[in-house]
Amino acid sequence: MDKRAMTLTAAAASVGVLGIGLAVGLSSRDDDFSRTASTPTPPATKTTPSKSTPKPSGSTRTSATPSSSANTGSASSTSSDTNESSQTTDSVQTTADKTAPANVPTRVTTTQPAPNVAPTTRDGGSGGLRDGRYTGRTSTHRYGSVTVTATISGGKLTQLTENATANDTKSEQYNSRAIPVLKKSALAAGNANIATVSGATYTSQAYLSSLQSALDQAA
Amino acid sequence: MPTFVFEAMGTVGSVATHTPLNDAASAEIRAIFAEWEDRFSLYRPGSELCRINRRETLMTKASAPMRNVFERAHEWSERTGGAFTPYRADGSLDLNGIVKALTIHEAGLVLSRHDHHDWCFNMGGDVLTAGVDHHNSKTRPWTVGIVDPDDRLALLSQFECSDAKPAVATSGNRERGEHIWRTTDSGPRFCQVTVAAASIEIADVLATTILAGGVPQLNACTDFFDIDVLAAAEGGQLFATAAFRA
Repeated sequence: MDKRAMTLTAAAASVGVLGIGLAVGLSSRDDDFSRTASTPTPPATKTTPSKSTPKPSGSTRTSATPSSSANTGSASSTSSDTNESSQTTDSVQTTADKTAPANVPTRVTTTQPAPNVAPTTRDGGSGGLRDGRYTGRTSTHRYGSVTVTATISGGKLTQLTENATANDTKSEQYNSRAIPVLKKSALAAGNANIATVSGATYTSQAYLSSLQSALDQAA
Repeated sequence: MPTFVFEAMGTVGSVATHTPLNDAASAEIRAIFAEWEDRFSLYRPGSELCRINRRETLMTKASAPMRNVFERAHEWSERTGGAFTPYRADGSLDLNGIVKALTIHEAGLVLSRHDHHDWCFNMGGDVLTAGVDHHNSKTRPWTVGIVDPDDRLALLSQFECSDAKPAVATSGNRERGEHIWRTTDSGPRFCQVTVAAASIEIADVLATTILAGGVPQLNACTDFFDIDVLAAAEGGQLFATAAFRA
């Protein structure tokens, strides 16, 4: 799973609350629109989210950033607003403006479906999408963020805009990788006094003979 | 430093604080661990999680903490492409991959409420810190030694905690046997993975994820999350991000 796949999944999730077949447009936006056009298939199979697409329930929270979930800590409170936002498109629009990225956009990708290829709705047709522009939550990753905006016109999805920001350089990305090192290199990184020890979970019994117990006595 | 030591969740916790914990704070910490253990234990037949696994309680009728943790575990499953999973191989629900970390986080909030700002909370090798270490009338960053999986009394490296990365968690398969299901056969097999992160939840979940998912997950997680990782493979090979390399 590469970073791009993850951000797209997150973006698909944040737009997915609109219901209908937006997930189809996102997960296959590079080449599948034409295929959809030439070979119409039953909506039931075509709009089923692909394996990599999060399930609708709870999927809106996929876009939570690592740091925000860090601060939330205790599993707090968003299950109810997930349910609400999956039922009303209004609440999606509300979150949109709040979460506009602070960074300078470095890349904006726009996807425009062929005019006659508006994705079908999940129930096969009658679902009405309200016209307007809807911006999904900003999905943040280590090196930037992605925000997807969907335009609905005439009850159909007519445009998807992906606003991606980057806040780090390629070399920094490379440096974040864990690379193979020799033990002496790791040992050399650890040469100061330590306060405590992290190891694979030890049991109560093993604790007595562990390094940490010695440290506790010395503290 | 004064250290409060207690047993919970089948392991030992130690809380080092600059000034001694008062009885109320230590009692609150014990109570939080007892409450979470009561709810999520797979070893207590009467726990809510056991009742759910026996289909005596429906998740839709479960307590708010249960539903919240369940949802959170699923969120992590999505964010790790399914490498982290709240289900055992037999399909039963097992939230222990996230419960201990969330409990440590809650306990940390107790310390803040009692006006402790410099502390180090070690729960069975998972470490959450705040502030700095007061040592011989000086202060220094909280420094966590990483155990060598091949020699439990030796250290492999260390990590200096900061406000940005106050949490360090290690997953392994030595002390409690092979308790993590591997999700990949590609590349070397990890026997111990340490992750430093912005929260103990991120650190713990991703340490488990990388241990199970091997090098592909190691790369995916370091690409996507702001973490430092030290992973030990069987046969002695190490993989380290910058913080763990000299």
